[in-house]
Amino acid sequence: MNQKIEKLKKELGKAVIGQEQMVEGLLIGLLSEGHILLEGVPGLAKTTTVNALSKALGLDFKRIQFTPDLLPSDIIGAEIYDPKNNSFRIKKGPLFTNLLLADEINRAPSKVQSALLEVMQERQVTIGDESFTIEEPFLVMATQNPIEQEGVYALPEAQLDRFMMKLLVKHNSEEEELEIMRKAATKSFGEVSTIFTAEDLQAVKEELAKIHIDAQLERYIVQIIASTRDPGKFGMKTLGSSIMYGASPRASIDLFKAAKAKAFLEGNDFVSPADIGFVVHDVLRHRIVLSYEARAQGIGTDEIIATIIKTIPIP
Amino acid sequence: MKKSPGSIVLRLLLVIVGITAVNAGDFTYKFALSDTTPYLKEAVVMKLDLEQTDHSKVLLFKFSPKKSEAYEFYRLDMKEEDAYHAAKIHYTYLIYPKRIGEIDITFDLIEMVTTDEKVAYSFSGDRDNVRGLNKKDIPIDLPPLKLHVKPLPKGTQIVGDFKLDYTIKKERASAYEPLPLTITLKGVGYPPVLDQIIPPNKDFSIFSEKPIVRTVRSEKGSRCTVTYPLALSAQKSFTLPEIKLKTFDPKTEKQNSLTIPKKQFTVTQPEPGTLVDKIDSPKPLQSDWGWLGTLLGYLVAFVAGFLSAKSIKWRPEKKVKPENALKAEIMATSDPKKLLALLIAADDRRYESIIRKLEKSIYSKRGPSLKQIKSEIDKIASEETL
Repeated sequence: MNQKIEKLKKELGKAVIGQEQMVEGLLIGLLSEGHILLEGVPGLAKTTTVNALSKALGLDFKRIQFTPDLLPSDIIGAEIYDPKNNSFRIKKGPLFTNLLLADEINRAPSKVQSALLEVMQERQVTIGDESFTIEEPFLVMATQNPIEQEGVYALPEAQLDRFMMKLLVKHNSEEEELEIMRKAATKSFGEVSTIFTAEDLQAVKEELAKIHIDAQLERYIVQIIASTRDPGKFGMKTLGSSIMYGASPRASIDLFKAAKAKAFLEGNDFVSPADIGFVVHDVLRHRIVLSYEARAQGIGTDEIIATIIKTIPIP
Repeated sequence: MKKSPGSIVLRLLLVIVGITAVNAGDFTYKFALSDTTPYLKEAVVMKLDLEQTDHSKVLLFKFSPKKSEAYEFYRLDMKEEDAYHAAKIHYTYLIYPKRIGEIDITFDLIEMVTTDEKVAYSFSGDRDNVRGLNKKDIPIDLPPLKLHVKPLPKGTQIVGDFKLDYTIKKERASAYEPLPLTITLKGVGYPPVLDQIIPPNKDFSIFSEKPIVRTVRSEKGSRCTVTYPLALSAQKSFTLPEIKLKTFDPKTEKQNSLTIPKKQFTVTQPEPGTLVDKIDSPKPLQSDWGWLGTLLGYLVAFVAGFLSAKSIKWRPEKKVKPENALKAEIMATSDPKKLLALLIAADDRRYESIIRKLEKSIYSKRGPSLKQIKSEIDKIASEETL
């Protein structure tokens, strides 16, 4: 099965140059059934990557461009009047898909964000009097612009918590950019083929469930999460003034699942401390709410996570 | 100034001529003057009666004396008798000649001819649909009435039978403090509005307001009350000289004098310090160095602002560590697990392979030594600094 994963990575490489961390994060999300939030400035192939992933997996893919005038019914669907039958019928929105790309999610007002995030959690939509279950797999990959940009509505903490990982998409290296430029000029980006089926995905998930994680590492995960809520207890008193709210229990679950997925992608049947370490930043960075003092001093969540990793002893 | 028998005869003749009715086509008019040889500013009562003689028409009239510098006129009354096709109008005017010698009193008279139907039509309108009266205006040339105006006796200031009253509220005041004085002239005659009731005097200043004039006009003339609100002011004590106003009553042809007797006003010199007005007694000139204090204040504020901006304390702490800080931290670590934690905390994908090697070294006791791993890290970190 790992060969298939490697093949999948290669297939994605036809359309996406570099950005291995983003591709790996998306795969972790896919395998762990966790939604992914991609943050980065425009033009970093966020949309292209998600599009390529959907093609490679042979999953139904839809994209919603979030705008300030978007309404909840635009994404969920609505009951519309059918004059032929003189009755109302349900028109399902683009939410009914396997892979949903919510592009620039923070451009839409909070009521639309809430509508989407509710579905992400419940995997169920109610239109009129009827409820619909969203088919598995259902994965939301949302992109957002950095909140410092104009015309964006910051996602509330409670909604951010529903994303398994927040991936920071960085610029490509110079060599990678040179390759992108040349391929774009000659239009020689490869066509992504479908190499994965829904059955394959199910089989991967079953294998993933078999990945072993040691009890000490489980405790290590819980300690990492707990230290965000009470850093003083773990010998990090100075961090106390920098954190307003720590991570929720959902963070422990997601870190656990992500570490297992990472181990699977590495071809291991057990989780090592490094697997936890490779995903801990992505799982925690959007769940720690900084205090005003930390913001004033320019301290970021990544610095806090680094301090925690350095302090909590590795089993 | 007694009336001679000849003048009485002339006056009577003029009055009789005046009261003869004159036919003017559709109507007759009749003037009557109370006097044709008045004194300057003596009241003359003029009456005009208009009577329609052509009863087949509807007649309306518009009458007024023409304005002139030779006389003033005031309408006292107008009476109309609204008989059918038999208009009768009686006007009464009071006229004051303003120039001596022969003067002509001229008139504007317009005869307006219309019909019953047109009058009825004009009345048929309403508030939102006003209909004008369609009529034919015929200007009538009335011969002027002549007055032979006699001059007043020399020095006459007031014409009529007036009495003088005055009020001095206080006779003692501080320098330049106003001393209120009110002079009232009351009687029958030409309104005694004088430019200067008190002649200018170098010993004191006179402040005056516009005189308050109350007049009731009738055929007996104008009953007037003229009040002069005044105030006197001086630096030192002064005497208001006796004021004599010469009057002449045309009815009795007698001259009279209205007198305000000489009056002494005492003006005291106040202490300069108690004066509100400090201009006449300003404080001795002193050097004002207040500007220097203000300037120094601005300089201090500027320097303080400049220094505070420069102050390191106000700058946010530099969070950027030196580029080799991680390297130094790694090199100082002798504990492999600590080193593993440091590399994981760095969140740098370039260390991923090293992390895997280190992990293998820690948990399976295989792989490269700590020294070798540090050497590899050093290599990657050096690439970074390059």
